[in-house]
Amino acid sequence: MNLTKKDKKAFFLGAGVFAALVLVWTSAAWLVPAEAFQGEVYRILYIHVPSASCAFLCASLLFGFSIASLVKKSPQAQFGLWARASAEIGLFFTVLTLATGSLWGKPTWGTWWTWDARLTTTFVLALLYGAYLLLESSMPAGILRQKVCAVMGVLIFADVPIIYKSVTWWRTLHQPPTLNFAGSVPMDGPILRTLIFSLVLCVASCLWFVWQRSANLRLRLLFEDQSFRQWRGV
Amino acid sequence: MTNTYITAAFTLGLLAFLGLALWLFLQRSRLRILIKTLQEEEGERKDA
Amino acid sequence: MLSRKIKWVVASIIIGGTILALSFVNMDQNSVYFYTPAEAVEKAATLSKENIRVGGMVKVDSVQWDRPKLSLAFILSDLKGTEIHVQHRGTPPDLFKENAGVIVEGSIAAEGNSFLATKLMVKHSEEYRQPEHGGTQADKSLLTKSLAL
Repeated sequence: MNLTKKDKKAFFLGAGVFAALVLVWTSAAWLVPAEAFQGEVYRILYIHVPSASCAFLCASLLFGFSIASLVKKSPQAQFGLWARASAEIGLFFTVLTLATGSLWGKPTWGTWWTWDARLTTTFVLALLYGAYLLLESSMPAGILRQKVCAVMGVLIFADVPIIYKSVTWWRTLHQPPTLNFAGSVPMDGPILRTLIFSLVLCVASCLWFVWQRSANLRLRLLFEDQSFRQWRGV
Repeated sequence: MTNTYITAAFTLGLLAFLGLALWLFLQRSRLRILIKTLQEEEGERKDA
Repeated sequence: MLSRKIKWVVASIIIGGTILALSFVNMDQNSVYFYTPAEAVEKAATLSKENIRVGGMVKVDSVQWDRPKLSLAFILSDLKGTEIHVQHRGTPPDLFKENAGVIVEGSIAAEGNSFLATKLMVKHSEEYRQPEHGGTQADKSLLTKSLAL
């Protein structure tokens, strides 16, 4: 298998986080009380909200790495790889958010989908992530790619507050944010606590994914460079 | 009935996380082998 | 392995298409996701020609459900006096009940008093409470606020 000691440590850590997450989700699916209005099906909250948060987190990471790659002289390739990994994992979580949201919408709202501001802007986020990845992989490495990707990174980052505020700025089917950053949160203790646990573990998983994917991208680049040099007989 | 939706959502989440982790693991494994093979070839070439 | 050119083209189409779609869908001053009952009644004459959405509350004791015919009738209210009689064919969503928030999609009569709904969507607030309030939303004000009532 040829994994290094560091590889094994990293994957053990990941396994640990994942095991903890499985425990929390088991609690979410069976142990936590049902909800007063929605009944049992509200439990999807415990995956849907953390997924969305991770999708937003990735946008922030992408933004940070994009700026860093423009500002810092070196190591630029590094920031580019971390940015790409953030975009990939960001897309992963955005799709998961849309899918779990849809599964939640059908039994509660009565519809799989609607083009209200919240759902539309989140869908746009997925498209933007996709476009970023296509652009990044279709352009040769260099200043132009860095700049174009940085611009895309800014657009993606800008969509996040729009998504968050969409339910307040416009009339939507989707309800306003429960986790508001001001005043009281309209969520009972046991529900909120479990949500926070799931959120923290999902964020940890998200960071782990970005970290490990970046490492793989770096290894791949290393392999390609080395392979090219050896082929040339240097 | 709503249980179907809950099951689907959590199963999707679990499989997605597991799948991604597995993919990263297999990718890492493959890359390590490829790099090692390259280094061995380099070594052989230099000896020759 | 898609060629670089193809990736470029697809990415440009996605970006361009997204921007175009956004400009058309969201920038229109006259398009709201749903009207309030008062707004819908007031503009009923013009709106009756379009497919619109109206959001409000299901009035208590107004729900009539004819299961064999799959025919639903109820009153959509803004809790401030405006009422619209809604008719819908088909089973309503599980959470549909009196005092629930609902968004109906379909057409309003030119007089503004009745609505033929092709789609019913239950709208709930951002509250998450343990069960003790008899299955209704505890804090009505959160729900009415997001319905612009």
